[in-house]
Amino acid sequence: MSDQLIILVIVWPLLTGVVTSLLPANKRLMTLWGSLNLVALNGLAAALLLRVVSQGTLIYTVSGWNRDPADALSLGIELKANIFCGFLSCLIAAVALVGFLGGVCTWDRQVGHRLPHFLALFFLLVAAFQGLCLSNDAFNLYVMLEISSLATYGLIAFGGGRAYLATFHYIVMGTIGASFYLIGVGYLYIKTGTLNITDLADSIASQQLSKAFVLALAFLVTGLLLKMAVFPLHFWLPNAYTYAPDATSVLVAPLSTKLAVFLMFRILDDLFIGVIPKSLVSWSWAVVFLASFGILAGTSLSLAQRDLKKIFSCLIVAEAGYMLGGLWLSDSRGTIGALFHLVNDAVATLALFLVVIAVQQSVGGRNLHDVKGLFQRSPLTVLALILVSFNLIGVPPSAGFFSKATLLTGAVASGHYQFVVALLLASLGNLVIFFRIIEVAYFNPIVAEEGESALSLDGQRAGALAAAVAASLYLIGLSSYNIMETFIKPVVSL
Amino acid sequence: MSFFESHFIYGFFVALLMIGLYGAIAKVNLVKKLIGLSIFQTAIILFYVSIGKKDGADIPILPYDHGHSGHMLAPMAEQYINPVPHVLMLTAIVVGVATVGVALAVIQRIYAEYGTVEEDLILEKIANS
Amino acid sequence: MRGLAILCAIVVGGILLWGSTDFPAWGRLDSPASVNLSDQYIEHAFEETHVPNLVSAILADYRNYDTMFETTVVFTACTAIFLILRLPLGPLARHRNTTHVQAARQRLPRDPILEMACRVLFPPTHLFGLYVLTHGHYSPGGGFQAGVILGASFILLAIGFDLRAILARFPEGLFVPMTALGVLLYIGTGVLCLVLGGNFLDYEALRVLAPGISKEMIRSHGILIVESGVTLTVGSVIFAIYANLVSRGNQMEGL
Repeated sequence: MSDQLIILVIVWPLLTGVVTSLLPANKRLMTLWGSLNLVALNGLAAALLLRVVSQGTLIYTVSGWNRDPADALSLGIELKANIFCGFLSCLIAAVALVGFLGGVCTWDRQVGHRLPHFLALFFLLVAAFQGLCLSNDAFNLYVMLEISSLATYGLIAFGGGRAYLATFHYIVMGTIGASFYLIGVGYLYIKTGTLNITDLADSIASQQLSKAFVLALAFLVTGLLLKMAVFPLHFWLPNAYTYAPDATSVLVAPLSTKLAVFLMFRILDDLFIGVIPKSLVSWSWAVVFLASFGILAGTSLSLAQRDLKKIFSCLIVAEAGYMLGGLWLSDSRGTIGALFHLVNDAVATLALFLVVIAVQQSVGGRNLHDVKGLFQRSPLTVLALILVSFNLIGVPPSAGFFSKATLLTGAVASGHYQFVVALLLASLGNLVIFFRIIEVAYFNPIVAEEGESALSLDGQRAGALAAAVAASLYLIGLSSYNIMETFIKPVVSL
Repeated sequence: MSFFESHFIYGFFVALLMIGLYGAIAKVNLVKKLIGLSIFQTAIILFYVSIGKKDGADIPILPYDHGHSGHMLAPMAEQYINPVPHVLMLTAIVVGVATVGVALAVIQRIYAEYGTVEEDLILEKIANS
Repeated sequence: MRGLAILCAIVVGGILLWGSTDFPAWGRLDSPASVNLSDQYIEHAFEETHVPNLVSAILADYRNYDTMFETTVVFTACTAIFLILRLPLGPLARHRNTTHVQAARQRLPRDPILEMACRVLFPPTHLFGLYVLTHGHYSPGGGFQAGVILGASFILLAIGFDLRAILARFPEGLFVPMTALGVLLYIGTGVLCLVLGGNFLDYEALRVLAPGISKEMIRSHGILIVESGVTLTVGSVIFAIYANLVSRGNQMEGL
């Protein structure tokens, strides 16, 4: 029975999403319904992780078409949970729950009568993320990628105003990205005749690496670079995430690009296992160079902004560069660092966007000059901001310190010094970015006006949630050795 | 059979894909951009369907007379074309339609917001506001 | 922008052309795609599922997990469009079912020939949709195709008469739950299989409910059940998308 956990983790939010669209737009009912289901999802994901930890990688065949005999090609679609997939699945569930709770206070302002449809898409997006994390079929991953994109389009666009144009750009880039991925899968299919990732990997390893395979890899990677918003292909992201409703960005921003990174890891490490370092070293130089450039570009873009949400959105572009570079360092420490950074960055981004909600609720705006006096109104929000900023700068013992340290050792060992320089410069950039915000928030008190002393309870709550999430970064940092040894190292085969 | 004869079909797919990609990037009108995107997706569908082709093979539906003449003969693999790409493309078509639907809804909202669907005019309006 | 686009198109196209020289010749019987998995499906799918249309068999049995998400894609798109376009029900909308149908009739010029043609075409179109669904096991067809035909029949009425006229008979309160019901039927079948002790969407588990049926036939029936769910969703979603797009989300006035 415990084998069924892997499908339940996907189907539970899917069913919840479909049922939610039929419920009335009652805020209290929805809060209860949503949080109960997300708690259940967290339980299922935790049980799945326990199952994977105790009994090893779980392969599940949907619709019961098991391989028969054992060495035959898979007829049906397989799901696969190795130890990192299980961990990531838990992370998705946890981020969804916290993001959901953090977003509740913005519903009155931004969602209104559209609550059932909003929450339906929210849950469908969670289901798609879980599916992306657990699927073992190259084409099924495309379908999951598209569901997550479609749900995201809807969730972003209903922010209104400039969100519409930003969504349209996102649709164009997202569709081109997914189509490139589909071309890559087609190239693999025409050369191997199968779609299952395990079978594909066997087939690729047994054939000579001809140009169709190289091109398949190129298209898969380019498609994911688009989804990941690495620097020259990033322009859709900052606007889309900035103008999205707050309740959306708190789920989409932490997870969307990270799952593209995870897919790229699957492609490099599961699909083209052992092929990359041998024959494509020149490629990896180019990609690491792109990543280094992307880190610097993202950080400088972020420096130029004055809208808090846009500052954080641009930081996502920079963070994508860290993980991309780490994956392509052709060094196992780089890959481990990238995967650990994925976990760290998902939590840090969640905290940042919770801070945005807290700021918006406490001072009613999110521009740099609105933050004035934030410390007086919501000290917890400022605390969260300080904690996250230390993480992004890389102060020990935060998770960011350990992920960057691992990435740096990997980069030095493989001789990618431009990546080292980019990482260090970006840390410096982050220091400036956050010092600017914290300075305004802490040292520029406002003169309290008459009758304006009432503190926003929602703002306080969101601030406390953000601070709790930010504090968990240090827990992750302190247990970084254990996380890397137990959850990440066993799946990195480089 | 010469190399050109056996591979020219892939050229069609590439040509269609180039047209679509050009339209999706170069056009200023959002609806035209969307049309380019649709052509781009259709090109990929064409590519997949062409993978399934087998010389001299029939569509992958076995003849069946609802049990009037006893058992059917076991099908021979070379008699029928590969059904898998067709299955995959059914999914891709649906995804394409869904994307176009959502994109049209967004375009409609953009038009309500700015009174135009020409991207340069919209950007001008945003810059002025 | 234009230069960049030309450059992009040429680079991508050139790379693709260069790569396609590595492909097996078109239509070759021994190309990898036509040999490995394809042969197994062609030779065994019928004896394992009793569905002569191999595309249906693979779509709704071997790869039914994909198809479930395909249906979800349709549902997601519909929900996204509602989220983006649908305006709140105003005071006007409440009376839509009664007065506005008449009001619309008076205002819009009516065309008896067009209306009659649509009236006559509607039932056969519906019937054809159902035929395509149920006969999808034996001939080209299946859930998606049937759904599109059913959806198109409603759109035909909406064009021939007026959006309000059709919404009075097929209101939002009916077709929106239908979109969800179709997906629920699909997922519910999967969950039922799971509860009865099989894997998710493993129709063989359903034999507990119908012991007299062979395990091949139960797969065939399972395919029909999920395809019906697909039809329900696709048909109502097509109409829902149409109704929202033509009326700019207020579902009052359209083509």
